[in-house]
Amino acid sequence: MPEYAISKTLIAVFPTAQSVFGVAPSSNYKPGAELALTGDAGQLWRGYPRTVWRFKAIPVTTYATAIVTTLGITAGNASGIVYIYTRNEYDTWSYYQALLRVPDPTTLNRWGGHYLDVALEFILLAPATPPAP
Amino acid sequence: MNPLHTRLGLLAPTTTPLWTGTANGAQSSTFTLAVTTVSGALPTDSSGLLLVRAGVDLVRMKSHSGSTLYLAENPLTFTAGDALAVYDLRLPWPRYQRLVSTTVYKDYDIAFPATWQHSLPPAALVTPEVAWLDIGDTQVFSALNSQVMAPDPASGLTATWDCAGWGTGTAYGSAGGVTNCYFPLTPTATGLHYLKCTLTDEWGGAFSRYVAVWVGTTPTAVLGASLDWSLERGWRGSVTLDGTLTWFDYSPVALVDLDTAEIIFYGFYSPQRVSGDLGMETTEAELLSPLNAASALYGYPFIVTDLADPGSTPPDNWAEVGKLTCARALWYLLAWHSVLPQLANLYLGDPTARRIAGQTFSAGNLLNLIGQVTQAAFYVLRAAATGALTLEVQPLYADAATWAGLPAYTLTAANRSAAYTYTPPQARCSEVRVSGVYLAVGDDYAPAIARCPAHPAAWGAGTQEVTKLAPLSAAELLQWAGRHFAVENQAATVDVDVYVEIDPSWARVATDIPDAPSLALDSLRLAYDPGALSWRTQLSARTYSAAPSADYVPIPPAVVIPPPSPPPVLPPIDPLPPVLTWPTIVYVGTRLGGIYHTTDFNAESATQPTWVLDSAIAGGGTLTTIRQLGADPLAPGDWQYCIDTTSRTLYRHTELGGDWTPILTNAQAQAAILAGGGPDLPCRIDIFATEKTTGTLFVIAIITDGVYGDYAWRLTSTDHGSTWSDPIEMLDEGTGEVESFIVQGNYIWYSRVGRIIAGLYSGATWTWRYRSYEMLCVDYTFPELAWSRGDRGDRLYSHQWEMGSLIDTPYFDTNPSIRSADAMWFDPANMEHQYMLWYDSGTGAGLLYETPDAWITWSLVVEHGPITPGDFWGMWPYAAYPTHVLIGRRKNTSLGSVNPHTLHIMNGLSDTTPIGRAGISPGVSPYTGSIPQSSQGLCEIGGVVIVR
Repeated sequence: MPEYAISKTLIAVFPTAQSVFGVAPSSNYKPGAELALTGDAGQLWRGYPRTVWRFKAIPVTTYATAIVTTLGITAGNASGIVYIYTRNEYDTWSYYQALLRVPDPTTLNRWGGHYLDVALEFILLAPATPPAP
Repeated sequence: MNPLHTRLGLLAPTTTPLWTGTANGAQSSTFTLAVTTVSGALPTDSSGLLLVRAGVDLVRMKSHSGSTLYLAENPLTFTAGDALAVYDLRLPWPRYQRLVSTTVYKDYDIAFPATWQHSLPPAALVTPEVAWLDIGDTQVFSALNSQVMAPDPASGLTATWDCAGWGTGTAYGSAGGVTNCYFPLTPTATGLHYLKCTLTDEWGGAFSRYVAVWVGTTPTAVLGASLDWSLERGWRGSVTLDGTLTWFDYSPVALVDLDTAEIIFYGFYSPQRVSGDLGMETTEAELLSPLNAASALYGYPFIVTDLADPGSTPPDNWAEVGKLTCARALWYLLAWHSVLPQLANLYLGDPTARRIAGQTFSAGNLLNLIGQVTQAAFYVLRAAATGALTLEVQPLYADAATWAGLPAYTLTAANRSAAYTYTPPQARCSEVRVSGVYLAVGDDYAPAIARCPAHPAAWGAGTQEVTKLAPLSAAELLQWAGRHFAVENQAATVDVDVYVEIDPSWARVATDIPDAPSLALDSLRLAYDPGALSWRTQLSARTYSAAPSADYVPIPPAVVIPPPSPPPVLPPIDPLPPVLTWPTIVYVGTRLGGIYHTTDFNAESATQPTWVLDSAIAGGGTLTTIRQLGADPLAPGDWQYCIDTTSRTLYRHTELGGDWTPILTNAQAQAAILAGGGPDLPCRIDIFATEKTTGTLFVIAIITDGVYGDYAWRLTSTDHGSTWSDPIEMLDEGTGEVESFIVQGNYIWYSRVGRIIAGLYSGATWTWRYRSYEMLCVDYTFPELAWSRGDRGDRLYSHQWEMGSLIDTPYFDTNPSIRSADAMWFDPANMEHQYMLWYDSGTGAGLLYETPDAWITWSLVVEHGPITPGDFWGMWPYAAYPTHVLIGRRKNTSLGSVNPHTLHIMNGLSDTTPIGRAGISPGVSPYTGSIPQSSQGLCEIGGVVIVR
């Protein structure tokens, strides 16, 4: 069964999200930023595809290591380019280049040594093809 | 560009100067500047480059030679050691003209060319008109749409291309009448550069187009943006940037789609605000398209007239254009009065189409001046986002067949929002009248007037007039009357969000919206959503509908004065000596002291008249600042009128010592103009005029809307000012106050500062001349003829109205010592017999001249003592004895032989010592029985009424 995976570069084998964050996420993929109604009663997505990974709890030390060391996003920066393996609304799993919007740790809900209900938003999803192993 | 997925960036201007140096001293009176080089070198062609003084002040370079810079006319003060830098940046500059005596120069020092065709250089059009490339890319540019603009070309154009120092390429190809029309550019250096394409015609006339090319430039991040397009004003944008740019006002920038590397807007950068918060800065800036930038450029007034056969009678000054057309007028305007055609393509269509007799450009911003050409044929300049402007017919004014054939974009239901707004038509007028002049037979122009509908509509409240049109024929004018009525009364508006990119070059949009199957695009508003990284596009458009029937309005026949009957044959009798009968009742309005009257005015008596203050306002208050005083010409003792400077209210007065009753306020004038179909804007009552029909009164009200300038409206009353109607918009030339206003028969003449304006009573046809001050006299027996003082006070002009245009004849331009005519009056029995009081700058004398034959010959009658120019305010002959006149004074100053009174009498033309008539001791308080004149200007006259 496919697993969520994430890497700071486009490599052959991505680390799984569970190995990076200590827990596997669930996801919510959208083909755009918002939905508009068209004159023929159809629907149209504006904006680029995006997905949100939700984690029940991430150890504080793991979170910092994952963002800064594993994903290479300088501490204090609000975003960075990463590569992810995730699923879309039809459960089709694909690799994407994405811009990760990093939540400021001070805004996260902390309980003991964990951040609870962490949402990582990946925007500007663009298909990517990793090199063969 | 996919509006649903867009990432934006801004290509910024170059910030590294080509050359730096210092000023050696002040610039010369002709704007040359000696400099010392510090670093870099100027390119061979420095025309149009940006010179920056002290990092702040911007000047356009015209050229250079060695260490001398030739600059465009500018207001700067250079001093030795000033830091200077020249950048490879081309801003949207104006090019001002200059008037030296009677000679016009363009761009300060460009005289009319020896080869007259050079006054209409070719239009250089290059595509793509802006580019974003990398080093090593190859982009083919094309100049095959370029056009010969001078009349009667026998051959085409030759293009030369220049990218020296930053790119390579070899021109090739011949198409569209252009040799070397293609140029494959391969850039070799990064930065913003300009590809120069020069088109040369067979007469050697040349024009260069500078195409902005960004090479290897990394765009600046854009946080937010909006772009607005309207049919009338083109594109205008705004951006919010992360951080700040190093910028100069109006530097070139381009907005790009990072996904497609497409340039989606090219224009000029105008920062509005820099905000800082938590150590981060953002910049909000406006982006002006070339057409929008035109609204920031000033244009001075000028006129061009058509020369029908330039081959045999070539133009020899800047006011003449061979085979003038709307396209040539527009090209002439923009090519010689701005640099915009060097920076954006101007597609003018067929330059030989739609001949016009002339084109008046009044003062205002360049966008207004463009409108003065385009409005003559219901044209628009349709603007592209990359800067190009295309002259074409406003789609809603096209005839039905043309409309049906216009290219249409089909907006499907899947590409628009489910929600839309349909605003049904609103009736705005019950009748439309249009008028203009067209090329009828040969090279003769003929006037035409049309109206629509043929019978008045039920609703709409008023008539709309559109004047100064240039139809191809009377039939086209008839069609325009119908189209204008349809546009004003029958066009519904549709507003809807769309999800596709709509290029406003589509004149027509087909939709599935009920009752709106075919629309003419009016505006687009694109708002960039930085959260969704997509555009929200709002479209606004109007429907096209068939026009009701229209009809011609007959041109009023010329007024024919029958020859006088021969006098009856009577036995000769000895002529009786004339009986001198001076008036006894006279009113005088003063600028600061109110209105006085006297009932014992007696020029023969040594006793001064007794003046009584007669300034009470009905309901309370007193009139003090009198701008104008006059009376009904047929009953001056029964009806007097005045306008006061303070409130600009028109008052009426009907009995000696009675109250002045307000009969027209500014607010009432505004309401009357609005009721007549005019704008609902505050106005200012400027001046009134009477006509030799008892009870008829006219007023000019000036509206200044703060955007487009002034509008002059005329109101009419036929019941001594009790009610006002018939508002007509007159030619809105000029600025400042209306100085003189005369209505006679079917003719209207008035003057504003620097201009004399004439038109027909109906308001249908107007024209103007750039030469007049406050003094304007009309021949009441032949009102097509008027006289005025000239524009520089050194000559007189007569003006003859003929077929909708003015023919001017200058007089006295060879006598330099005569500087100013102070007053002028006519013999009531013979309008060709006139008198003029001059100021002689050589001797300081006041010279009274006489002409018996309408200015053909002049002779000196008498020389008065020294006066000051402008001392005399006016002269009034008394009908019973025209050589004995009242002289009104302008200022309370010593006048040499003329004593310092408000009003004087001159007993016959040989009288050199006019006698003051301002009461007893007018300079001594309490001025009992006098018009006081103790302070400067108190006695300055606003008007005189002679009753009997």
